[in-house]
Amino acid sequence: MSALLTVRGLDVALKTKKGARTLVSGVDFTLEPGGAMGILGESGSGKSLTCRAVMGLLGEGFTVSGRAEFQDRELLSLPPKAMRALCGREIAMIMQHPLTSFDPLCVIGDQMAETFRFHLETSREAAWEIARDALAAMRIADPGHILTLYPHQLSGGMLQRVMIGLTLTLRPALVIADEPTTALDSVTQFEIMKELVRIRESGRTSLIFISHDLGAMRMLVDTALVMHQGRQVEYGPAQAVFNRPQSDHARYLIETRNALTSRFLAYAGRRAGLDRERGCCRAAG
Amino acid sequence: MRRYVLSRLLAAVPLLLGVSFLAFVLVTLIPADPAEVALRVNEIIPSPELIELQRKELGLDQPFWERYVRWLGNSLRLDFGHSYTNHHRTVAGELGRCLPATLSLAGVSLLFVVGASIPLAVASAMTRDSLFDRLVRTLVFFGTAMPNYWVAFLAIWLFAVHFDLLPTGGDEGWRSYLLPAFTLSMTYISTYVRLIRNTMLAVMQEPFVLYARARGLPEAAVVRHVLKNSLQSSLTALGMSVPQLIAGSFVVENIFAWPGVGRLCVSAIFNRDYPVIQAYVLMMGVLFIVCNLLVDIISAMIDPRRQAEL
Ligand SMILES: Nc1ncnc2c1ncn2[C@@H]1O[C@H](COP(=O)(O)OP(=O)(O)OP(=O)(O)O)[C@@H](O)[C@H]1O
Ligand SMILES: [Mg+2]
Repeated sequence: MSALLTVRGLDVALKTKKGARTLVSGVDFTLEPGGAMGILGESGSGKSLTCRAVMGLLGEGFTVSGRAEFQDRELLSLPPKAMRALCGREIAMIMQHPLTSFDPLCVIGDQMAETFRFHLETSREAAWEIARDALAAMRIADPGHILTLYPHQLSGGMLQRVMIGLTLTLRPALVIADEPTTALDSVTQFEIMKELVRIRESGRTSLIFISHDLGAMRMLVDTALVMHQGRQVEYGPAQAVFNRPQSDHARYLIETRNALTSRFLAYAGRRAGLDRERGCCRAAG
Repeated sequence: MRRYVLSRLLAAVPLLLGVSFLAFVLVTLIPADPAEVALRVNEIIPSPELIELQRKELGLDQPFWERYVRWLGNSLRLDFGHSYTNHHRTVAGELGRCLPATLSLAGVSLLFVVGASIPLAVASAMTRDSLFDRLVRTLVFFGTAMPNYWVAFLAIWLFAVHFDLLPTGGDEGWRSYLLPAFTLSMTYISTYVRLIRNTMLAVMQEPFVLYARARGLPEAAVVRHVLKNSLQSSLTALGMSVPQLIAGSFVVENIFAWPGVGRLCVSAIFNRDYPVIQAYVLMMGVLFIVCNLLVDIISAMIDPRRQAEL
């Protein structure tokens, strides 16, 4: 099989006192090596749960069924230890909230180095060297100093870049970016998007990209999956899904986003126009 | 850092004054004439003249504030006067004689508390809702619900009387520590197991734990991060167990005939030995304030997020 990740009939249920509650059901997709898939859907539609189920990161209380074949390994039946060794090394995750994704009591360098030590089986000193190189590769100034800082001493954008640097150093086959820009201001969002495009263009790494930002989505992905209340309602090539959505929900989701975007653009355009006029008047007066 | 410590020290001064005032005034509120008591405990039949003489001797004829200031000044020099029951002994000497026994009992109990509650809490949080976790939670429930004097008698009956394994009381080597230290630490073990377990479960919900797993860290390394963060927030409570164990030995020392300050204080209360009671109350108050101060400063020092405000 040539596909990198094939997911078939993925169901996630939560055991509760009143019986099992299905949170995600019937997710099917295929990700080619070097491909990029976007997941769209309203808040609470099960996007994050789907990704965490694939990575074996759902806690006890959740039951996952279906199939998830990754490089000829069946992920859902992998022993927990083997699955954990795959995390970070082969399948990596970039989190939504950079500010709360690091242990507040440990310096960044220690957290990066411990990751490298486990995956690359190197000494502490070598792992710190690798961490420094990882930050330098992200064009972060003075990486040696950044490594000695605590998470609260860094900005969200900086931490997000640290996370991306950490992720890319291990050269995973698949990166899952779960709303990586939601918690950032727009300038930083742009910076992070540039990094994601760079990952994408390297061609080595496949990407699953979760976002509410259709513009960012169009920039990155070649296939798209739309979720609604835990079910997959649409899946196909990105152009087809964005331009001719078939299901009612996908159409609704994409049209409201497009409307918002065009209204924003119109507003921004009008502002720009007004500013120009004012500038003219002032120049004239 | 220095400014933070200085401001905390300054803020402790009025508290210390308040505690000293309470220690002094509470005892003088007891409805008995200390002069008469001082005579009676030495088996002298008090006559009005003798009482008057004794008052002068003890300085009780002077105004209240004058007495308080003098007592406070002397206390600062660790001079708490002489015991009423035994004129040849100073209160400071009595306290100094009994303090090592109390401190060593509290020390052993603290080892029990830390040594039992952290492993139990970690194991319990890791195996949430398992049979083990439920057993621990049941024990914690009984541990907090049962009064320690009752447990003490039960333990004496079972281990000392019925099985004749351990001494019933006194201080005769390490075996006599087991029962009193167990009864003293039981309540605290239960409290901290519950506190640390619940804190760990809350910390496990934090995004950084999910990210630690997503990075592929083995579960042992993840638990290390969780434990570090949980202990950080349980540190205040754990630190305050030190004065609580020292002051809490009051009951346990009497049951096990432990030669510590708690027992000294109880016999002083029976004998109306005012200077001893005042010194004990003052000592415990100061202990609590000082420990609270130290715990605050230490937890500010080891929390990187708070180092900026120091
Ligand atoms: N630990 C949990 N316990 C119980 N229910 C959960 C848990 N995590 C998620 N859920 C439920 O599962 C559903 C899907 O959650 P999920 O986090 O996958 O949503 P999402 O699509 O990622 O939303 P968002 O865009 O807000 O991140 C939600 O309804 C949520 O309430
Ligand atoms: Mg989500």
